[in-house]
Amino acid sequence: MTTGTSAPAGLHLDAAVHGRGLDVDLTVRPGEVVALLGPNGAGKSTALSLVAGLLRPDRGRVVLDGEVLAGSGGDGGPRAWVPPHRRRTALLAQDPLLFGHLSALDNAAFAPRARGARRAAARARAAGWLERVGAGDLADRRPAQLSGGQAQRVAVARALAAEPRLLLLDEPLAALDVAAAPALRQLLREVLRADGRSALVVTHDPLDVLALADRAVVVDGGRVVEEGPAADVLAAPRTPFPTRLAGLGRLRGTAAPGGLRLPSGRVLPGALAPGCRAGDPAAAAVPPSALALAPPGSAGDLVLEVTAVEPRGEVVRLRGADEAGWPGPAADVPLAEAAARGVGPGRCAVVLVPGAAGVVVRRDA
Amino acid sequence: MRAARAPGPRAGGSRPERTSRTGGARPGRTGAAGAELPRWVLVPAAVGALLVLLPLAALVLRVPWAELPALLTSESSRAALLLSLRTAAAATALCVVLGVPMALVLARTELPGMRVLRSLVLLPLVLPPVVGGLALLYAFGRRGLLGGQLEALGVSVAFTTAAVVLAQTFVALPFLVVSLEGALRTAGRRHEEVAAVLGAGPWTVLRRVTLPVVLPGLVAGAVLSFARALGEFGATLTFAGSLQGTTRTLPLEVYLQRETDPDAAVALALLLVVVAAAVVVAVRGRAVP
Repeated sequence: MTTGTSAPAGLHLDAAVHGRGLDVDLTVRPGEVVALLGPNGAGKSTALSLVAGLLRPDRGRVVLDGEVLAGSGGDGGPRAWVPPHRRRTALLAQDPLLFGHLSALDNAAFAPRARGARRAAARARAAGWLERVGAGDLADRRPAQLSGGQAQRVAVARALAAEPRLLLLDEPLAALDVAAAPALRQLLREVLRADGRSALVVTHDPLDVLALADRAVVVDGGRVVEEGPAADVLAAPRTPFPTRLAGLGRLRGTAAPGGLRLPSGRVLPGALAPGCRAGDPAAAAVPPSALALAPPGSAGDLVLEVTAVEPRGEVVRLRGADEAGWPGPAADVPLAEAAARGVGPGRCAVVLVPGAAGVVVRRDA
Repeated sequence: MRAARAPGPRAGGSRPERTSRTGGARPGRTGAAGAELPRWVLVPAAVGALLVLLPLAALVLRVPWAELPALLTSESSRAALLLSLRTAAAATALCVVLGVPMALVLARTELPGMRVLRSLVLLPLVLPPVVGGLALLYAFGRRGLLGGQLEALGVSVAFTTAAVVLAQTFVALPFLVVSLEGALRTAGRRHEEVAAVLGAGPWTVLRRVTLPVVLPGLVAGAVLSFARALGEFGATLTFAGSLQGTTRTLPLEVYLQRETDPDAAVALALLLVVVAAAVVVAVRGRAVP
């Protein structure tokens, strides 16, 4: 309702920042929400800075809706630079970064004012956005008088009042306590989905990925290593980071017609990914619920090298050793059984739980 | 640090035994419980505090309270006081006009040579004021570097009220620049970046975000600059001379009266002490939570 009438063409970012070891190529299509995932220091925030105009690329370019926002000019493309205030993006970080000397209303009115709206008109628009994010009653408060969740709501209103062509969210829920985060996640879902906004969201929370994003892009070591529909990336990840993020573990074996054959000969049910044929060395990302302790004395289907024992409510998670950066397979064991069997670090035989959901079996390079 | 009212730390330091006892009795106070200072440190600390307080006390004891109103309202006193207030206010305004852009450039740009420039800007802080006055004379004096050009324009700076303002600005400017640059660095750039992304151009960011955020630092710097300008002596005497009503500011008047009318000198000195104490309270009251 506020995104204007011209047909937008989305974001295309293909750029490198040598000093930070970043060289990425990613796209946000119009109306699409893309989650940007990756370990700390992978270059996610740097990518957002490139789009917002807080950083110049050493190579490549940033194009939004057909307009070249930044171009290094070195690779045949135009040399260009649009300063951040003319890009029509908005940035929401984990810290709300409200202007402490302005009321919530004037914070939300900041962008319209900066673009030349009269005070009364800007405030009217700001009041509408505060109402929209459920912070209408906070209009007169100073940021110091707001809780973390309230401040972040006002920051959302301030960002949306800028009517950005692209919303940049940098871990927007990371600083909120567990009580405030779900409500704000719901709010973000509403404003992102309902209005068909384009957004690039950096997050470390699988729930954010599933709730907010259409597509996920995984960055590691400054490069895009994986991308796909958000649900697919979390359910059947191809790289270590989303495997860990989704709480899965990597199980290795041999590809078989019905799934992944384990050393015991039993087959974990699943589908073979393209390029993976029966008999190939293969691996799959499995949830801890797919494995259980083997009966006493049994060799089980496979042996976990347990390195960590994590209490998780009614179950204890036995975490297998990492392998070449991948999280190892894990098994959830009911609390009473774990206590009775005296499980701890060391070798531990586990079996497949019958009826577990199918996995995607990929060739193990 | 609740006990740190204006002269608090000094008064406390002058009575070391009591300080250590009360400090030990309240383990909750910061620094009291953990590593203790060797006790002998208190002795030189107390001597230092006395060195500051004793002369001031001696001055206050010497104040002729009965004649104070008459001494402070004599013609020469009033002339000096008015001149000092006018010139120090003008110098402070000049410090703000020139110092704010300087602090912004020092804190927000990364040009080569900025470290050298920063050191040079601080030079008047450590330079003997009389040397500063001499330097000003050779820059703006009749036979100075720019004296000829200024003369041609019909402007004569040296030994005028304008020279007083220039001398005061020269010595006071670093106070404002240092104070504001520190505030700018502490505030960081993240709010400015958010404002820019929200559509604010550089001038709007400066006006609506940067300056409001560092306003306390700017006020503290301006107050310090005003105090330094008010107390300026050496550079003023060298560059502006001592003409009553034109260049003879309060400190110069105090120095002159010391020979002819010590009571008047003491009365005016008291005035300067009161202003200085008020400034310290105002600035420290902001800086120390």
